[in-house]
Amino acid sequence: MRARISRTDWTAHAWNRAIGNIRYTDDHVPAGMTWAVLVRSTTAHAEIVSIDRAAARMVPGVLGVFTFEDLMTVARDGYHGTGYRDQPMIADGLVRHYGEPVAVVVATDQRTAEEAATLVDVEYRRLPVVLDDEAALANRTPLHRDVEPSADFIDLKGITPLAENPNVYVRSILRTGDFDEVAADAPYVFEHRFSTASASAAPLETVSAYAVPNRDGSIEVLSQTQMPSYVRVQLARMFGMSEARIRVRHAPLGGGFGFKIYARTEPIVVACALLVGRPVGMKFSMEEQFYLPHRRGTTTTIASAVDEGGRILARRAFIIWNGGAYADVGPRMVKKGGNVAAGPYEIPVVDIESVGVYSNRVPGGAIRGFGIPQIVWAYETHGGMIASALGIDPVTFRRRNLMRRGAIHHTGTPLGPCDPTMVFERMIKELESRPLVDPASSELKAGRGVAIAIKAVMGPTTSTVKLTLNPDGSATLHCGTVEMGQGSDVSMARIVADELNLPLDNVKVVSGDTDSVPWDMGTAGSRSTNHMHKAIIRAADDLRSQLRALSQTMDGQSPIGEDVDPFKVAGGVIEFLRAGFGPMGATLTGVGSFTPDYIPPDEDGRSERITEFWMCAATAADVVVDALTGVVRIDQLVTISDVGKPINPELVRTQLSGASIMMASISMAEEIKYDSEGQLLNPGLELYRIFGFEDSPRTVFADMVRDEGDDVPRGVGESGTFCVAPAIASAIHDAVGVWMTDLPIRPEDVLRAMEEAGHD
Amino acid sequence: MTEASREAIAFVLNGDPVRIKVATDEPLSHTLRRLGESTVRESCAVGLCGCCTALVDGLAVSSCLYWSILADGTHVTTLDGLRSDERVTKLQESIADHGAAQCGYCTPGMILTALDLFEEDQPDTEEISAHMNGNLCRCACYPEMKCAIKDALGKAQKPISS
Repeated sequence: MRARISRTDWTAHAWNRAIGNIRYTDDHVPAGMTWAVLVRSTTAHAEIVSIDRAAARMVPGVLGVFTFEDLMTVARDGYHGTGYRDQPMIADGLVRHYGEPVAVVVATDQRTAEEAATLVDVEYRRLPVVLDDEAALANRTPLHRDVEPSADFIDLKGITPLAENPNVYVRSILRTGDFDEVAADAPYVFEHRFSTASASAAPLETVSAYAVPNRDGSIEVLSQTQMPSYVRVQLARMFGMSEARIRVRHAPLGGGFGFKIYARTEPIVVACALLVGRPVGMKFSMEEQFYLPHRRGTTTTIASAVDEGGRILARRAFIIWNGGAYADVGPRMVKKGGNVAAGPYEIPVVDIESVGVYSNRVPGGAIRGFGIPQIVWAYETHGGMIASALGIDPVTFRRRNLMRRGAIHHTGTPLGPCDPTMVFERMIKELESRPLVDPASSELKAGRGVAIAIKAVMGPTTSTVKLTLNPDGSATLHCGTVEMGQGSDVSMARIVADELNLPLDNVKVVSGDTDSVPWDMGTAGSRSTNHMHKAIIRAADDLRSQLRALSQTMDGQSPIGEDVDPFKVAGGVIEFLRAGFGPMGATLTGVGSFTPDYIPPDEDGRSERITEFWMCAATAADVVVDALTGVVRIDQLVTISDVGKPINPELVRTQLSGASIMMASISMAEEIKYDSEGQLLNPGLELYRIFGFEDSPRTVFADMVRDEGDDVPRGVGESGTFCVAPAIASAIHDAVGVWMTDLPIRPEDVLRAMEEAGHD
Repeated sequence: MTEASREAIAFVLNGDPVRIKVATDEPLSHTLRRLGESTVRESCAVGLCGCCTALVDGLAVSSCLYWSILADGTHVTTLDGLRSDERVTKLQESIADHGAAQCGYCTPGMILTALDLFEEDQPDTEEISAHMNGNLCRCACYPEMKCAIKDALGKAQKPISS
């Protein structure tokens, strides 16, 4: 058998990875690299009294040992953050979380830097540590003073910490009426409290960044980033340089999951490179990755007023997002999470308050789902608890309340083609042919649970592409979408091939270099394929206009009209190029960009245009609970998502499937633990376990459904995560009759709940 | 501070003899990276994820936990050394057809670990899972990889000795 050398269809994605044809960031380390290693704080909250660098500086091979003040000699602004500029490159005299970098050692090799870093002696004056969600909300000693809004994003314009409690860095409200008024007359009112633990994305390709200072003063950065354009903007701002003199390159990522967003590591290597005048790189170990932003923990109190038939009349929610030491993406997550906290249900009155709070945990970031799984965990488990209290089966309860096609969301924004009822019914139909497993032992109890959710895409942000026709009619797309496993390179090629009427192997996708690739906000929040698809169509239209103009220069032939697609004229493109540029033709470049319309919400949080599109997903889980041990095995996960038009359906299914298993791991196994002093107890994969082959469900099924005529791709990467945790909790209840309200769901908690419920 | 002492070792890497100085406590993963082996990837650094899998005298090891000095005199094989291996080709074809790689960072290690399964008599899905359990995939391509391996094994007409 002889292997196929090259593939261009969807199978090219896995093929190139299986044959080792993908070079990751660390396979491109520039020559002459020196290495930075961070000295990390051994306390969660303290003033830095002194940093003794003498011993470290004496180590042969050490090029520098730098503090924040040193880095500031080459930086114009040492702070970054997308909501607030509250995070210093490294600690600015105050340590706000355990493992925060307090100094950076640069040496000729990594080992020397690591050894020298152990010799840096830092003296701290300890301050009180605040860790837990409610304690952080109650804390009246500000962790930050006078934080500056960053104003990077229009949807975060005007955010400000609460005057009465500056540790609440953002509060988001969505209110359509008075909950108490409805509840006073309602037959039933239910209130429950839910929590989620912090978790790490833990991509297997651990984070690295490299900076090369050129002799002309320009800088080249090679980084694992989901946001190369944004990194360049931030570096230009922080180092007072023209963007034209900063080049950011990246390779395909060995996992992103929202972990490799914004500018967290790049400013440190750039500052060090400017200080030592040599290339400086920084490669984190898996253990160190646990000091980068986490999926933030939450506490949600949610109440519903319900009639006898199980119709939800009003819903109130209060969500605390434990943001850790720096706000990072928190302000946006607090708003977006709060907006959808009533779920995809027709509820006349919703009243939601969502707050982000500072604490001395590692900063909260985003992982796949951007806060939505935490919210869905609360409202879907709450819904299941209501249904069971009223004696209504969980499917009927949802059918009675779900939004339908054409619905207007609580925010006031229409759901568009997104139809929760369609998604839910497709999942229920799928379950008909998938009977619940028979555990064949009296100690093993099987159960099934369902859940459904919606999410709005990331706030209004821009994607831009350059689409170039080569002289032979083939095409090259310059597109800033970052390939991180989702298959974007083959998807973008497919979009171009369809638009330009070309075979797939005549399309080349170029990314990875801000010197040649135009602006894209980033590959995150399920925005990229949708926005790029729209930008590519505009670039193709630009090319069409240019080709029509060229066709007017052809001798003896009539130019093509507005009604003719030049890409559908046989041999046309080459002819038009030659007519315009001579016998060898030339390249022709079209540009296209897309920015969603956006209307800022009013003081009640309402807007007719709060998002470009909605995503909807439903998941069913079958579990087997061991009644003797509380161990829960997930037998089957079924996920149905409305992703709009799938570009490569096969890749969409693997994304949905992988996302659902990743979320099952986070739901059942993953929890970042702190001791009472704020020391992180389980960094690294020895103590922080993620799902492997044997943990993975016996069966995972994922498929998509869409409204007839819906021909626009929407988000894929996150949808599979939304509903997994509440589907599992609901299945556990079906199996053994107890409700789990805290994530992760640990065997001992299941056992305890069963004992409390009077099980033997 | 004492710098670890260095020692010259010699081994056969993917069929070619190499000689290299290594620190006495240097893991084989670092040495292989220094030799340009891009399909050997260190991730967890504690022998749990399988991204750094290499074959030492035909045996799959986590090279992050394998001292380079112990590789002296051995044959070390990475994915790049198995381009003409029919088992590898079958796995690669099957992984592509099943979409069993997302970010792909763990994939070479998965392939090397899966090779032993060709020695077994038609392992079922549970046996495949048990054998592969030391290789983690954060994208969670586990269902696709199980199918890919099963199909590749099925397409191997008879067990092939290594």
